[in-house]
Amino acid sequence: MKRRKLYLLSFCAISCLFSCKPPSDIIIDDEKEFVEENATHIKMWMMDFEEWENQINISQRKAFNKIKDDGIQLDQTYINKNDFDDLIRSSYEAKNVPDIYMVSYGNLYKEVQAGRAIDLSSYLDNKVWDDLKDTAKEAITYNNKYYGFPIVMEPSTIVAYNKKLLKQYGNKDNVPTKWSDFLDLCKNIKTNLRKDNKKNIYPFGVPTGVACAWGTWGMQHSATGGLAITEDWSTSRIKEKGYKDLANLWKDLYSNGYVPLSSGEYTESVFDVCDGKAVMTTCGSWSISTVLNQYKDIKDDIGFAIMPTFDGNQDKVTATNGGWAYVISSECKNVDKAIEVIKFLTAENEEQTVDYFTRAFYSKASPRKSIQTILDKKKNEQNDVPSSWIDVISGVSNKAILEPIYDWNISVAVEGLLEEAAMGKDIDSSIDKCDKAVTKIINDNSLSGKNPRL
Amino acid sequence: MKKFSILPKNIVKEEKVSGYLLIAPAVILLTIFVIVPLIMAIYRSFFYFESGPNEAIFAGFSNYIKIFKNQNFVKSLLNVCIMTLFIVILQVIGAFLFANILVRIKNRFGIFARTIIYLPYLFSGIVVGCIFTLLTYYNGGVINGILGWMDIEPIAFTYSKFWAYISIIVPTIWIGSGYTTLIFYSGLINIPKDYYEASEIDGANFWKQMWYIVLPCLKNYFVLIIVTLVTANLQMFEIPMLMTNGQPLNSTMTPVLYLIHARANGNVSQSEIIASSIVIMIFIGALNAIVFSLSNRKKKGE
Repeated sequence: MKRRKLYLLSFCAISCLFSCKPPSDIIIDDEKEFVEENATHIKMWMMDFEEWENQINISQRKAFNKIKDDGIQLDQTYINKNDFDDLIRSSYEAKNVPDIYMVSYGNLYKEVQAGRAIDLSSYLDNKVWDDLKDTAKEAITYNNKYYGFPIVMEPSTIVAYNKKLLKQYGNKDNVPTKWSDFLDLCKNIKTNLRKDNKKNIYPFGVPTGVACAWGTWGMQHSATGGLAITEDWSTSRIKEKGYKDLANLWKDLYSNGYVPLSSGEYTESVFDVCDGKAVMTTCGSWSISTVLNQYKDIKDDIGFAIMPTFDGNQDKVTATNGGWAYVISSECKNVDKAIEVIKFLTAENEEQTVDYFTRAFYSKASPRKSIQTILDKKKNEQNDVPSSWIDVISGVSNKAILEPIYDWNISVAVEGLLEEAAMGKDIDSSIDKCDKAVTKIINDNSLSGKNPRL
Repeated sequence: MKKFSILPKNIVKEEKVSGYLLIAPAVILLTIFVIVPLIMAIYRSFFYFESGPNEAIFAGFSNYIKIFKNQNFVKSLLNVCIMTLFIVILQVIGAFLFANILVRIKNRFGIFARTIIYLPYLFSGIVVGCIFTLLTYYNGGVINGILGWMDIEPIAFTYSKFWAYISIIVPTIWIGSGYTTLIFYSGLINIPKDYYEASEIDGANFWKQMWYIVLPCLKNYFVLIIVTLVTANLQMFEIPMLMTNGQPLNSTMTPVLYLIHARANGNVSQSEIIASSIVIMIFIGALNAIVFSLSNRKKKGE
């Protein structure tokens, strides 16, 4: 009897689980997919992003498959971001390679070096390549050949702020453009927070840990006019004055308690601003879509701004552009048909591409000049995204440099410099230590003159 | 010397066949999933290799030289050794003491305690990492919330090396202590009571019984536990990733975590990753060999 009750209870519990519906804010595209008989199947591997972004990609696939008699059936597989690179390699080992797959700009060179991505230069008209922004073109060009087609440009560093808290505790409406003014603002906020006994609110948030290694590339560039090594990868630039300024900034932020001693994931740092735990924070452009998807009700209380600089000039590089490109694998047997897919999804089809960026709440910039022009015109026709946010994204993205592709340990060494500054260690000795580490990496790996982007 | 068997020849032959048949599935699976991949990995570690259409180029030991020149990787090996040392010592001593307490509790509470202490072992490292992250989170974690009520400054678990180590060592010990305690417990209940009775007649007190009976009888259990813990902790990944992600200053970066970061963010080649994995394997093997040789040396001494 007891066992029967247990079975009944288990059955009810399982039934409840299966009958659960997804939360209402997730858009489920239940439109039927058209299947073309005897068509060539093009296998495409996509990165599994947030639900809303996957839905856009799925609806684009359905729109492609709706085209009858083109002889192509597009099949997509969504794969976890963390496993993606390993699964691509495994697919080559298993001889089960997708025809098209996504690659981040930072990893594209590896695909080229390994011979996995094919040269697409001759498959698309010159006018298509000419339509690409310079940074987008640079991201996919090696040996004067184009090895992928860029999908999006995402600036990695902007400032998000909580307007109410900024007004209440900082008595300001906007984020200052100069770091010295910014520190004054933080001081003001901290003093007022103390008066109100608000111990759990911080004036600012910066990337920590691994995110500090990549999330500060833009700040390094705005401080020094370059990154940790010279463009030809021959010499360390750590002894440039800008790095000392940056380390001192980190020291000021931490020693005065303007930033929390420890923080969560950089990719989710905007949560702290939305939840009222931080007045301002550094974050990436993806935070715009996070706010509009998860904090839609308070979107008017949130603002985005360009990162401050040491001289107050924000017309220079303040961020790096991350993003993804579609590549066609060297094992693809139907390159012409795979190209048709890329043309439809991003390279030539205006309607689909504009739709992608508008549905992504303008949180990403288009690598195509023509699309960006349309988006800039359309921004006033919609009410979902404040136009000031769109201006920040397109402004930062247009000037942003590409993520560096030099040895990762160089970025880790700079992370060490900033962490030591945060801990209050002597800046000069930390700079010496970092410089030695970077020089050792250059020498050990014979990096000099090996920058493939030159 | 000729082998002697009391069984008839045909039965010996049949026994042999059935023996081979019984071990065959294990041997086949191990060959497919362990031995062949291991040989392939060792072979590939001597090449500049990336999956794809390009031919692999012979590299000799250069992949190995490169990873040993990599300060971050070498540092991660040292980090994991320090953490493993603390975890093994604390966990073995703690579990041994706890097993001694459990073995003396004969009532229902003893059964309940044995069940409860084993529970953490059922959780995966990811789950435990998430639980402890909620406890140790700087701005809003349970521990810092309690400290805040008491007007004490919050602890930044990823800011100071000391707290970063604590935030990894404590959950790692918590997750494994139940299993280790139960192994010691099973060892303790297997010690014949006659030994204790005889020693009591000879006038041995608790400490002498512990030194001359319990510890020698549990020696193999100690070796098993130390080898298992050393092997598991040198490969630790989930808890350091969730608790500190290598911070601060890479002081809690473990080799596996380093490889994951390097693969995700940098341009470390596939062959270097393979060579690094081989180095970690040899490193773990060497440490285990040291533990075994130390235990064998004692045996000879006896």
